[in-house]
Amino acid sequence: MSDHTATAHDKPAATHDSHGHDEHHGSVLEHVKPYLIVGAALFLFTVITVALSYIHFDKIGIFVWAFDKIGVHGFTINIVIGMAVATFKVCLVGAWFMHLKQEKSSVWTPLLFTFFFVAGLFLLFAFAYADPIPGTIEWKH
Amino acid sequence: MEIPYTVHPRPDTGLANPKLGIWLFIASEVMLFGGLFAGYIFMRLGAEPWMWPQGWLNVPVGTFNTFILIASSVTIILSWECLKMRKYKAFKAWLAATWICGLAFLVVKLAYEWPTKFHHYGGYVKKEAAAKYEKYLGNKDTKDAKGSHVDGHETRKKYPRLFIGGHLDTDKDPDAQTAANVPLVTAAQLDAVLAMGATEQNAAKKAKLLANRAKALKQIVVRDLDIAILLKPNVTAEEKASVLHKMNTIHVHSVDAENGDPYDPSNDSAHFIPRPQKDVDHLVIEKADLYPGHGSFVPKLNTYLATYFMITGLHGAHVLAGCIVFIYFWLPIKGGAKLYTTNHAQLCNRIEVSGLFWHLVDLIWIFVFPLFYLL
Amino acid sequence: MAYAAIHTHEAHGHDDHDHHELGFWRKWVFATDHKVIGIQYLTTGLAFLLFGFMLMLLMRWSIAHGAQPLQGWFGAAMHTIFGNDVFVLTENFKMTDGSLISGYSLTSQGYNVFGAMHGTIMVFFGIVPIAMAGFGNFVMPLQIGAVDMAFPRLNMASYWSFFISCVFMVASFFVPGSAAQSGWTNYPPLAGIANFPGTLSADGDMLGVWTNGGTLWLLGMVFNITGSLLGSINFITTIVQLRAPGMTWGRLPFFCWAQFITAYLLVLAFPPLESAAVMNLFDRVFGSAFFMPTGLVVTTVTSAAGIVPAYSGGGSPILWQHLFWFLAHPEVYVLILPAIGMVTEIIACNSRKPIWGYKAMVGAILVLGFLSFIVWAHHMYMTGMGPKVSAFFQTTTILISVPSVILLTALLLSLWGGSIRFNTPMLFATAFLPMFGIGGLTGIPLAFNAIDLFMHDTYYVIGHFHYVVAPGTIFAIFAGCYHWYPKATGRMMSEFWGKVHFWGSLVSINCVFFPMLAQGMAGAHRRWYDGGAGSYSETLGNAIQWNGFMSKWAWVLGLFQLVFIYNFFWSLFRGKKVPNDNPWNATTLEWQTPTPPPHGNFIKPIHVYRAAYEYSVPGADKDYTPQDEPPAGEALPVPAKAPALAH
Ligand code: HEM
Ligand SMILES: [Cu+2]
Repeated sequence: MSDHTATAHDKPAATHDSHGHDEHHGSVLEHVKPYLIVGAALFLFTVITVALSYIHFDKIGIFVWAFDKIGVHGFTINIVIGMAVATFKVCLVGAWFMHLKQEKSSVWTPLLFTFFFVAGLFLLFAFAYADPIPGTIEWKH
Repeated sequence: MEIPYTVHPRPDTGLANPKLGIWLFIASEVMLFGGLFAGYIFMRLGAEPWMWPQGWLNVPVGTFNTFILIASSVTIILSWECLKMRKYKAFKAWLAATWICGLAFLVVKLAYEWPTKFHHYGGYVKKEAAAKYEKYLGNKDTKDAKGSHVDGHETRKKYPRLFIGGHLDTDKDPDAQTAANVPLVTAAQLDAVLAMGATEQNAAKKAKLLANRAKALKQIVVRDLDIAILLKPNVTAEEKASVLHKMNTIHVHSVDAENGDPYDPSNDSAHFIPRPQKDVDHLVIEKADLYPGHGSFVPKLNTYLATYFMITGLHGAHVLAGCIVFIYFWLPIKGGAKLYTTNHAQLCNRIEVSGLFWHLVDLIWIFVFPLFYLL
Repeated sequence: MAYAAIHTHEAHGHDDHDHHELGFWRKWVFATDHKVIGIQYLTTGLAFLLFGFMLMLLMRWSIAHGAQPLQGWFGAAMHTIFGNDVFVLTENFKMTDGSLISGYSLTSQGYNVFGAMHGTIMVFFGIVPIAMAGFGNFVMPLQIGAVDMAFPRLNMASYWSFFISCVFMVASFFVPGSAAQSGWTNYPPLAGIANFPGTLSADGDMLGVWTNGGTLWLLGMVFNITGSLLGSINFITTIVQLRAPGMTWGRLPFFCWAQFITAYLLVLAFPPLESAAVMNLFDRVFGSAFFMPTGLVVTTVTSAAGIVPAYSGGGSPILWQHLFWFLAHPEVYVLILPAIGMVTEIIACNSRKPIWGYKAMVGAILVLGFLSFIVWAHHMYMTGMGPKVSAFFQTTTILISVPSVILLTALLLSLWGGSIRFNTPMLFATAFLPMFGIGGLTGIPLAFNAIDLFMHDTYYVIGHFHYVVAPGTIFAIFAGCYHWYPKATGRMMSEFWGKVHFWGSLVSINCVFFPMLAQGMAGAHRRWYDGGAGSYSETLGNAIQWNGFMSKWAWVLGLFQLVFIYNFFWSLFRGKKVPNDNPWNATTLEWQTPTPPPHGNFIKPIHVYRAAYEYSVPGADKDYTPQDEPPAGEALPVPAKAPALAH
């Protein structure tokens, strides 16, 4: 870590612009357009999620066939599709609203570990659940 | 003494302290809700399929709340952008819009969604007693006038419908709801309660036990009139039996659509618009015929409601916290909107950081909504 | 710090400009200064360590002597404190020599109370608050050259959240039915039904829905976890953001690295336990069934006399175990890493030579931190996990012992060729190494599920982890106390009493814990209130005799802790005054401050020029070179303006 005595703090306090943002006094709309688009997309995908939940994917041949490949059957197909859409929406929120698109590695690194551990939590739970000593736990799904 | 980097980023990390702090907090929140959702997954995997309800929640209302929350995520960003561009009025307006959205979300939840649950009643009929309630469960393979199967769908055959839900006649009997929540009471249990303190020698302890007997009676017999009967000096066996019978039966006033019309296949799948309840003449359910955990739609009823209340409850607490913080920043006070003139950069930071938290709240809801309302 | 001077000219909204003397309440009670908060944590933690120790003495009495009444006046006193649920009057108890005695003896429920609360208090209220929050708060900001923690008020909030949790835990002893009874692991279904609301206590009081031991335990844990989370966020932010100029990651003292990883473990592992605690609260308070399986029959006469625990069922006790161990395995590293950090500092300083393999050690704790998240189910081999899952967790567990061994090896090799000063802190630090070694090595057999099926829940496991935490972590804590005491108080602790404390503790602690390993292998199960005497004396054979032996040595161990307590307070007033700010001739920055350090810590601007442990550098004029000493020929940077810190 080199010389950080000459930081932003040495600038005169009055300018207040050391925040790293350009102080455009231009049109707000132009600035916030991406957010509005993402917001609209989130609305749209909410409607899509609701609509999808009323489709019986387990009655549609192609879906039954495709999901059979990953061992997913019945109503669980709907759950997987619903969660996929939700994950997509969450990525939109993360990338644009939370600015993860342009965030520093000091933020990214811990977050990556967090996601890894959450995934571990879910998957290893499921793994432990799916591999009982034969005859001890009854499968419900 | 001044702590460095409270407002301005440190050059080598590129972050100011609060921003790193909030991201770590978000990481821990992700793990917290990760734990809760792990609970959900476990509960759902472990539940008997017929025990995991669908279509219990009001989807239009849930969708409305989802829209509100997404809208507030947009308004907080707009507020922050306006603040950075030094448009004070717009900043305040969007910030106000954000917390108003948040409060609206809470009002819908607390004034409508939760209370309707508490007023609902339901229970799972034991498999062996299902035939008794066939009229409301519709598991038999009946044929309509044309001779085709009305009940031909596979699911019902594999997983019989065992749930009866509806409303109790609380007009006639204000205690009906409370009484319905009390688990089955056996004669032996009742006797044990009535005998509390009877043989105690120590006077002080006896007084305590008698006081506790009154409390316990209130909990298992509920109605004062019945308690008075039981506490009579010469209570007869018939009187006891009749109180017990009263406690162990439930008089249902109206039932949910799928119980009202159990043979209609369209009642088997979820509906966007909730269907109305159907009045019933005289449905009496015996608690002995139900699995434990019958009663109001509260966490005790089944693991679905338990996860529902826990996750939406904790999420609601986060919404409330966010609203409080936003209102604080919105008010013209020292740590709030006044910072606009005294320390603009710090106010920007505060809005950004609280905004990050707010997006997290939104993000959690994006998972909660389909999991509980739709799937 | 040059920027500090400039910064004050900014028209800030900050309200913690401390240009005036703080009053007593702001300075010592609602303090925001990291050193004061550190001392608050340390003293609270030490008090709880003592409290937990005393609970253990009572618990061990029950193991060794079963229902035999306690000494007359002592039993009466205990009965007055803990009440009828925990102590009962036993008339004419027949001793082995045939004589009859009467007095108050522990109930089996009382044994459960003491066992559960001993574990909980030692782990969450003793060691973590001391080793992590206490020493971390006091030493870490000094070592990185920071003026304070990044969020001082959050720091205060952490402590007070912790304090509230302490109040819950202590209060839980005094509600009807006494404190929690289901072990520090709080396994359901017992955790769902012990101290159940609506049941009656021994006095005939009805247990309240919120005021009963089990629920208060959970509430306490929720506050404790919240405090830990806030504290850890603060620790990480401080280490990342507030390192002094020149304090690169490679120059960071190892203690700070250990705190850094520990804080990450807490931030990411504690929340799932918090969620589990909330679920368990729902089970207890709202009658849900997260952890209560279908078909569980819980009907006793007293439960009929209140809310009848009828669970809807459908829950899974295993879910709790997963969520609990997802935290609690990382938690064991939370218990040991700060200890290793302290030992490292003390060994480097007292062997007058740089740490051997600093980089390898840093790498090792990074790997260890990562792996600790994916080994948890090695505590759950007995839950019906199939061979595939067992093999997975067995593999990761064995992998994780590699970094542990690296740490131990590096520390051992650091002693090699040093000119060691065996003062009290160093004695404790060196003793830590073999003790931690025994603890770690006894863990390795447990990692294999074939062996663990036999060993699980025996005294062997108790021996294993106590070797790590008691003569391990607690010795490191003592080492830390003796080492940093002069910095905090300006006086040295007595060397003579320190050595008495050390040798006494070393001998007695091994007499307490070593037999456990043997007893466990002979089949002695943990959590038997009579130590197996009632039903298992034949199976256990001679091994049962160790119960009395260990219990006696536990009292001896306690006696030697009195020496420490005496020394601690005596030295506060009578201890030798420190000759200078750096009595141990150490290199790290906490010794380059005034003693005790003022608010704001440093009176001169700090710039770091060198690695953490430059002891005995060839050619240097003294055998230590502080981190902020500029290389020869380079002048100190002149601060732009007079520092505004000195006051
Ligand atoms: C060398 C690495 C280690 C290995 C391979 C290891 C392995 C294990 C295993 C497999 C168990 C479960 C035994 C059972 O319940 O049947 C266990 C228990 C335990 N270990 Fe370790 N361990 C190691 C180091 C540590 C460390 C450093 C600590 C720190 C304090 C620790 C603390 C504990 C505790 C507290 C328990 C018992 C928890 C309980 O059931 O109450 N272990 N260990
Ligand atoms: Cu472990």
